[in-house]
Amino acid sequence: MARIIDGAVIDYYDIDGGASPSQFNPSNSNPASNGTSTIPGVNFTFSDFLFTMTIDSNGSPTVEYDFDAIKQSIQTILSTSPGERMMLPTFGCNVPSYVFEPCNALTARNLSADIKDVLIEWENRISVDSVDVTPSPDQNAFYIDINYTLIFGGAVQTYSAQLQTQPL
Amino acid sequence: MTDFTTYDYNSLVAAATQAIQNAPGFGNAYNSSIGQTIIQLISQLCDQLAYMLERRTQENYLTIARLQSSIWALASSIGYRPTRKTSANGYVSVELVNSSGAVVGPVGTVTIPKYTQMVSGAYSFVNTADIVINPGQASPTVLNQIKEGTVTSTTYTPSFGPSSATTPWYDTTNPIILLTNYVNIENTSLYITDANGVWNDVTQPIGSASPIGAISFATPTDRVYDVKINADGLMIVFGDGVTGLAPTLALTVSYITSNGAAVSVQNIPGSPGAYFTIPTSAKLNDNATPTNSYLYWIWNTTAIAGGLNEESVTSIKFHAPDFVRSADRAVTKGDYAYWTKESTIGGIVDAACYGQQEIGPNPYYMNNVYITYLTEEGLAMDNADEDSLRNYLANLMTMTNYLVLQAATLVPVQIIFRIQRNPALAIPTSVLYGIVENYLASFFTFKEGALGSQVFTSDITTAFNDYQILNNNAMTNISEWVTVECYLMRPFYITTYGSATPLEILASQNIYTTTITAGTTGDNYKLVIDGTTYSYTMTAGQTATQIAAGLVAALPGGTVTAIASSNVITITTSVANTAITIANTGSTVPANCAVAISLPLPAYLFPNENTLGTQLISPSSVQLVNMDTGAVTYTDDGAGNFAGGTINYVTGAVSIPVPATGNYFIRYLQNIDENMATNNQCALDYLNAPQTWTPSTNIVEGTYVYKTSVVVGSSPATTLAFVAENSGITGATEPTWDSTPGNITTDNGINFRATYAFSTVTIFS
Repeated sequence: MARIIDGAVIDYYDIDGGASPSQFNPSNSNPASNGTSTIPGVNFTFSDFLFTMTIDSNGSPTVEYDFDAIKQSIQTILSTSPGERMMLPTFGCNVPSYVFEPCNALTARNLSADIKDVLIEWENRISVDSVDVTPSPDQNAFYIDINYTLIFGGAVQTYSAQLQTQPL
Repeated sequence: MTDFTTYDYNSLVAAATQAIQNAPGFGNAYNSSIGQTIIQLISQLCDQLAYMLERRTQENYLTIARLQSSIWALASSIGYRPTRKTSANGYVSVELVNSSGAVVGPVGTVTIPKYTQMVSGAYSFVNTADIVINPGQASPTVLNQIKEGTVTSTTYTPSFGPSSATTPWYDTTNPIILLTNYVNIENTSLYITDANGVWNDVTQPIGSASPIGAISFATPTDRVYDVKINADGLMIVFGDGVTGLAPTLALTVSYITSNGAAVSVQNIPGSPGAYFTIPTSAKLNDNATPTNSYLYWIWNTTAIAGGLNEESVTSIKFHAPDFVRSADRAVTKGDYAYWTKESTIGGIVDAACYGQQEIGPNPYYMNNVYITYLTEEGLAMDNADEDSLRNYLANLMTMTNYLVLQAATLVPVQIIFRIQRNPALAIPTSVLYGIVENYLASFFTFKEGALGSQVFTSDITTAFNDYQILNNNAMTNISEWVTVECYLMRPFYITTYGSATPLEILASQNIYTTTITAGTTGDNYKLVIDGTTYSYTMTAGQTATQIAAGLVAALPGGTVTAIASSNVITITTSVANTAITIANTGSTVPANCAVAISLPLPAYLFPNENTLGTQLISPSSVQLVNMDTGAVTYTDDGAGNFAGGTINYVTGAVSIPVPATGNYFIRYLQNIDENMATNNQCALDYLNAPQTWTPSTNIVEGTYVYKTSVVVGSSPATTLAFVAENSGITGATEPTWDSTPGNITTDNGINFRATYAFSTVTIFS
């Protein structure tokens, strides 16, 4: 839906995981096939279908594991607006609405708090250490860095994203 | 999911998650995972599908269907006919007037044809028969019944083919006319004709003809139709020429479109009703040559009330199974009762049935079936209606039975309403009065379920406390409080025959007592009965007892019975409702031949009077009331004295000085110490002593004094009835009896008097 805000046409918002999944989980291409976790010290494997629902070379839906699965989960939470998910209306985060807010430190602080709250509620496989949101008025964007620790195994990870309106 | 009824969304999600929790991609059951999202999506679809399937299944079973259309169609599919809307109805008066407003008689005959539209306010009405004003007829005014609604009349030409708005015939075995908006078609107004005459409803023929019951029972010449309902609407189904005559000529279908319970026109006693106009003509013409035109006045002389909405789905669910159980045959007593009600012959609204074996093993009457019926007017059917009912049931009986038909008899009870109007109501008391009257009339209407029911006066007070009307666009209670007093009541009429003043006691016998006192030898003791003098002369040494015996011997037999007991002669007539006159005219010492009149209270209220031997009438509660004015003529003193006469609180025997000619009733309270309910008799049962009304304290709901309890035994059956009667509005803050009928003096309170009648049905062979 196009809306005119301060003379700019905002066609959509964009949340983009800034880092490559493999950067955080080098072993994701070699998942444990016997149920053994790829997370050090944890005898458990997190798995999830790839968001794009692609098919791998074996003809099966592509599955992501462990760090990548968790990172995709974070992305799913942040990119889902409350009320969007059928039968789960409170699921998601109100991140998209922040693109219509002034791009300043106050908005960044509120955005940071919201992100932290929803991750605590919907992703209990991690412990959120900090959510750093940096406003970039020139680019009409917020840079988001989420630092978290995996509950299982204690690995420290960072999820980076950019919230930006589509320029004209 | 071992529980097959647990297929809601959460159960489906849990089951699917558990089933595939180890599959790659589906694991972990985190709401944020794609696999779990897929599970939830599929579960939601399954839940929706299950709901749809369940709803569709639900709509196929009468007991659990929800949609009105489904319930009507299902009930119709088993032959049951749900009741459509019923129009409010009442009577209007029609007068022809000149330009000065004076009532005139027409030169020729003025006729207002049946089903002429008359309008009052926002609603239309039609007259149910021709209104004819004959030449010169100016008084009395013409009364005629009208019904609320507008008449629709459509002519259908047989044209077999697919149904459409312009071709309403189905090309099926039986010709069918389809009416889509059928709920508003007045329940008894459907009228179908062609050039050869009227077509009859297969279950409810016009007039006294016996119903055939179904098209399948009709002969090829029977001009009958059946009414069925399916998802498309109401179908008028005709015969196919083999079972029932197939229509070949154009059919005209007429009916009244009704607004049901939404319409009522009040009628205030002593005031003219609402005026009606005929939209098609400001004047009425007569049939003289040349034609004369007259202005007219039409107004209602009774409340136009009694409108009902269509049968509720709850009622249909309740009654349709009864129809199935009866299954077109009368075998059980429930069958007889059901079909008697279903016939509606003579206006029957309720019926109860008993077999001979329930009231005694008399071998001569073992095939007797006793049917007690209640008509909407509370009256007995005439012979023609009884014959119609017998014929109707004869088609349903599976063996030869003798039907004993008996109307419910009435046991009157007087109820006095005191209603404090809600000051928030922005309507005049005169209007509110009409609303209350209409509501009372509808509350006490004879209806199904009255026979053998139990009613409490708290039901009445609660209903009135909850009754709301639209006031300044908001639903508002009409009253702040309502009190109800209930008395047993015995109406009678006192008339005058010549110089004597006899009593005529309805539905009972006249009872006279003559008390003899011994006088002097040679004294004449004379009784003049209906103008004939009967005499006895005292001889020497006779006692009063001997004189009484001698006088009894001189009296005639026949319809007059005289019995001497000691010095008291009791004279009765065996002809109910027929008065005789008795006087002691010509007696040497009239005081020695004192004639008194005893008013027996209804014996059927006191069947155990002799066995209980205690006071069944509450002392100090007995009053003789003029029915026309409401004035209390006599009151008992609580010690057995009744305005110079006497009253026996045990037997109910009353002797009083003869009051003036007029309509009277005696009202009284039943003794609080007696509880006749344990004897399965019709009785008033009081919970507490009468509550004193305190002006400063509102009487709250739930504290009402009297419980009027009618207990139903196997025999006699008991029912209740109502006769609306009189009314008045008090002028004081404390509600008191206003003896002036229709007197409206203030807005502070309404005192409504009504005659509320309980009926006892005793079954005899």
